[in-house]
Order: sequence, then C-alpha cells, then structure tokens
Amino acid sequence: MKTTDSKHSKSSTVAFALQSSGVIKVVEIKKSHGVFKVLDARTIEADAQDELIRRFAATRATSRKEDSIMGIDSEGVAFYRLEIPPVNDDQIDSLVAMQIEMLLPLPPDQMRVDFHADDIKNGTRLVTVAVARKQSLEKHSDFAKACQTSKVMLNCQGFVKAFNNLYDSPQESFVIANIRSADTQLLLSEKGRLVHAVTLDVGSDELFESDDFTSSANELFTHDLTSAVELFAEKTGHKPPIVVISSDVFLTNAVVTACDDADLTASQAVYNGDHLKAGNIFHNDEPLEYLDAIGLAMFAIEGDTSRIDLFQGLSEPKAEKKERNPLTTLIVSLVIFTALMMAALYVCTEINTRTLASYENKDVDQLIKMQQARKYVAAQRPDLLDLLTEISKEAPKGMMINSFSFKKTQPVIISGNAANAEEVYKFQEFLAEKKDLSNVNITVSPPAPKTKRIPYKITFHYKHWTKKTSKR
Amino acid sequence: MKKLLNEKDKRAIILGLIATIIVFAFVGVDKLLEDYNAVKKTLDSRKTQVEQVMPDKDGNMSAKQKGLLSVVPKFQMPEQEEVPGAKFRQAFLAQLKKAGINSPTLSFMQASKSRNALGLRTMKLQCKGKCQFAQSLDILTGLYDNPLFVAVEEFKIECDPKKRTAMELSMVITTFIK
Repeated sequence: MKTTDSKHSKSSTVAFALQSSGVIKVVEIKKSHGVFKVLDARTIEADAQDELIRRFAATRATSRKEDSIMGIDSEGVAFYRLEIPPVNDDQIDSLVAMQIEMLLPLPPDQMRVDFHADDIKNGTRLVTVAVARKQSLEKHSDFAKACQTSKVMLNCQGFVKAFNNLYDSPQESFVIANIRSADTQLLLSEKGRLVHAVTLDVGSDELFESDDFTSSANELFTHDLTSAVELFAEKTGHKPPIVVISSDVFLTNAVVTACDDADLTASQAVYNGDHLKAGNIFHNDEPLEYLDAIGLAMFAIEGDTSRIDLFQGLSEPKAEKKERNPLTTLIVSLVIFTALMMAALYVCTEINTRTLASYENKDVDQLIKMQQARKYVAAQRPDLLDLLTEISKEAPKGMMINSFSFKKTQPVIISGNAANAEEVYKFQEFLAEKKDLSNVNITVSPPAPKTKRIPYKITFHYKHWTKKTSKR
Repeated sequence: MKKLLNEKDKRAIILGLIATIIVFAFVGVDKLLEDYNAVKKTLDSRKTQVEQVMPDKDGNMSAKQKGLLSVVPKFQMPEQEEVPGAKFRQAFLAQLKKAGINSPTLSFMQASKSRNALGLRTMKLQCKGKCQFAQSLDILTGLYDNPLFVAVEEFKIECDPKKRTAMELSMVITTFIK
C-alpha cells in the first residue's frame, strides 16, 4: 500500500471493498479539478487480511488520514421497495417501521433497517428499504474499526455510484446486470443512486458452459432476470432498461441477446473514463474489478448523507484513549493523597479539639483535682485498722499483746508474753506469711520466774511505710 | 511575535510549581500531624482522668475509683483558717469524745515548711490519752470520716501491766493546711 507515501496528499481516500470470496479490492483515490485520480489499486488475498489490518492500523496511527472507507458485499442484505402515502419526511419513520416489520425474517431487535424515500410522485412516495441482520453488520463493523476506517457501506452502493460516474447511462432509471464469476447482481439505479438490488445465484462460471446460451442454467438465468426486472417495475409500472456488464465481452453480448429475446431492453455497458485518471494501473484502462472500491472512494470524497446507511452508529472508530504520562499520574496521585491526608488530619484535629472542649468544664476539673488529692492522700495513709484487727484476731489464745507501736520509717514493734515459745514462733510464722509484712524478727526472753510466761518482742515492716525510704 | 516560552520551558515551570506545592503540602501535613498528635494526647489523658472520676453509663464506678474511695472515703481541701488546723482538731476531738476517750491531750506539732504536690503544707497533731483497745479501734475507724484527716504517722498503744484493759494511747495524725 502507498497510503503512507508522503507524496500523496492528505486528501486522498483509501477504499476497501471486501468481496464475498474473502478477497479485498483496495484503491486509493484523490479528486482534483473534478476528476478522480487513482493513485493505487491492488488486490489483497483472503489469507493476507490480518496483515492488512495491522499494516493499515499502523498507517492510520501515524499518518492520521481522515478519509477511508470500507465496503462489504451485500450478501445477507435484503432490499425492499415500499409504497407509502405522500407524507412528510418526519412521518416516514413510523410508516416504514410498520410496514417493514411484517417483512422481517427475524425479530426487529435483531435486525437493522435503513431507508431512503423518493420525492412524492403521482400522489405516492416510494421508499427503498435495506434490511440486514444486526449481528452480521456488527461483525463487519468490528473489522472496519480494527482498520480504523471512518465509514462502512455496501459494495453495491459503491458499484452503482462508480457505474453512474464512469459508464454511459441509458436513462434516469435502469438496471445494472453485473455478472460476476459466481453470481449476478441486478442493481436498480435511479438518479445515480441504488434503489433496489437482487442477486441471482448464476454467474459467469455457469453461463460459460454453453456457447449458444441455451442451456437450462442460461434459461433459468433469463427467467430470473425477467422476474427481477418485473419486480423492479412493480411500483413504477414500466420495465427499466438493462445494462449488462461483465469481464467477458462474448458473455455480455450473449446476455444482451437473451434479454432481447425475452422482450427486455438491454445493452452493453459503455465505459466513459473522462472522470477517472488511472494511468497504467488498470488492465485495458477499464477498472471493472475495482468498480466497488472506486465507487466507495467516490462516496467518501463527495459525501452523500442521503444514502442508505445500515452501519450508522456502528462504524464510528473508537475514540483514541489519551495515555496519561506515568509521572503525571504519580504527581496527581501524590497531590490528591496529600490533600486528602491534610483534610483528614484537619478534620480529626478539629473533632478532637471540640471533644476536648466538651470535657473542659469546672465541675469536671474540680472532680479531677479532688481525685488527684485523694490519690495523694491514699499514698500517705497506712491501713492501721486492718493491721491491728488482723493481729488481734490471729494471735494465739495464750499469747498476750502488751504493746503495739507503729511509726513511719521505723519497724512495727509488738511486745507481750506467751504461755510457751511455740505460740510465739507460731505467731511469727503467721506474720511472715502475710504479704504486706516483711522482715519479721522475734526476740524471746527467758520465762518470768513468777508467772512462768515467756516475754517476746516482734518487729516487722508493714508495706513500705516503715521502711526508711518510705518517707514522702 | 516570538513566544517567550516554548513547551519545554512551560513544562519545567509547571513541574517546578507542582514540586513546590508538594513540598509546602508536606510541610503542612507535618504541622497538622503535630497538632493532631498533641490534641490527641491531651484528649486521651483527659478521657482517662474523666473515666476515673465519672461513673459509667450505668452509674457504676471503676474498680480503681472504688478502691480509692475505700481508702479515702471522705476528703476536702483545707480552707484558709486563722488558726491553721483548728477545724481538724475540733473534729478529731469530737471523734475522741464519741469513742469515749476523755481528757485527751492534743497538741499541734510544727507544720512542714515545704509544700507537697498539691501545693499544701502538712501539719501534725499529737494525741495522748487513756483508752481501751476497742476504743483505739473506734478512733482509727472514725478518722476515715474526718474529711480533713490525711494519715496516721504514729500509733502506739500500751497496756497497763496492772490493769490490762487500760491502755496508754499515743498517736500522731496529719492534716493539710494552706
């Protein structure tokens, strides 16, 4: 492809015509001073399509050429000619929808419909309606998107456009019989626009089998051709003339003769290349095999909003996503994170400050001050009542306590007498086991001569009060 | 007119501005974080204090508070008095009488010169008298009801060898004065 070639102006248009066989016909055309100039034309085989997509997408990405168009074969597209009352344009939609719904082979949500209404003539309006399966159109549309083409339409529309520009037209309304190898397209052209189409399953491959054009296939072909023309004439009441075009002159002549025999007006297509300059690109100067693609390119260059467009809304290429610079992303993230953090910190601090203020009142302050004072006092206050009660309660029965002395920073002293030494030691053991008492010492004197009782003296420390370090 | 700044210059200026904003933002965050921590610390401390002194939703005191109230059930801060400790002395004397200890000798000892953590000075009151063991226990019990009482510094009881029920009581207790 030469689409990347810098010598081509940016106004050139590339058209791809996807044939039913899988082959793609590609032309690049530009228009200058009312004449179309073919810059390149080539055929891409079916197995090279993936390569085409990649190359073309890359080309599109770098060259940014706006004009490109893709055409698909009209296989699977049905055309109808409807007759509606002479209503205004804004009322046509509902009338067509109503009438076409009965003709659709599938539910309306699975089909796409587009139409073109002719002007009011003889108190009626004729409408050309094209119908195709949505799924099939989407598949083609996806392919077009992969190639980043901006428009998609039917090859037969392109063919009619090119034919009207490059061949002599017998009348305003006529039928183009385009005989291809596998089939024959019958395209009703009216005012340079496709208004009806029928495809016959017989092509040049079968028609060639008989030289005198009298085989059963040929007869069937003539019969089908006559039926199609009658169908085209159904709404207008007069049979349009047929212009036969094929790559084989003998076959074309044979078909014209057969049409004459069947009372159909037919003639051979006459090429008029005044509007197309192709240099030596085409064999015999006649771009027959590229007519689809050329017509598509002409559509893209000249634009035609009134044409039938089944791909409307499907074929727009996806908007390119702007890739954000990672550094920008990082900076933006940091700024957002910092802003959020500042906001969160500010809010939290504010909440805490207000909560703190709710705690700040004189009553609470007084309570806290009193609490601190109580704690201070509690730290000064030994529980002597508990100690004395415990000692007097647990002292053995024969043991008498004569004195009890407590003074901070000095050991507690208990003195008295006991009936025997065992009681004293037993009492000492009891005191030693108490967790609040420590350093329990006992001094036992010899028994008194008169009473025979044993004097004793016990010293111990009570918690931290009696230790030297306890002075507060 | 020739442009003063090309795209590269503009980008450099924008990046510089963003960097400056980020630096200021981080300084701001640091300051806010500092404020937040300070307020949070104060609030936590205050909450702990309040939780200790205030009953919970059900009106229950905390275990710590209960323990503290069992050791210091009544307390009041001293007032400015003409004769420091007079009220305390009067209340203690009433308690002694109530306990049945008659004609005790009460005398104040010199008050401390230094002030404690509460900003108060301590004054000691010495008490001497005769009593029985049960009466001495009553006195110790009654002291907890005296809101001006601080602590027992000294406590000594001694039996009369001839009459065991009669005991010599000598005690020194403290109160706070302003």
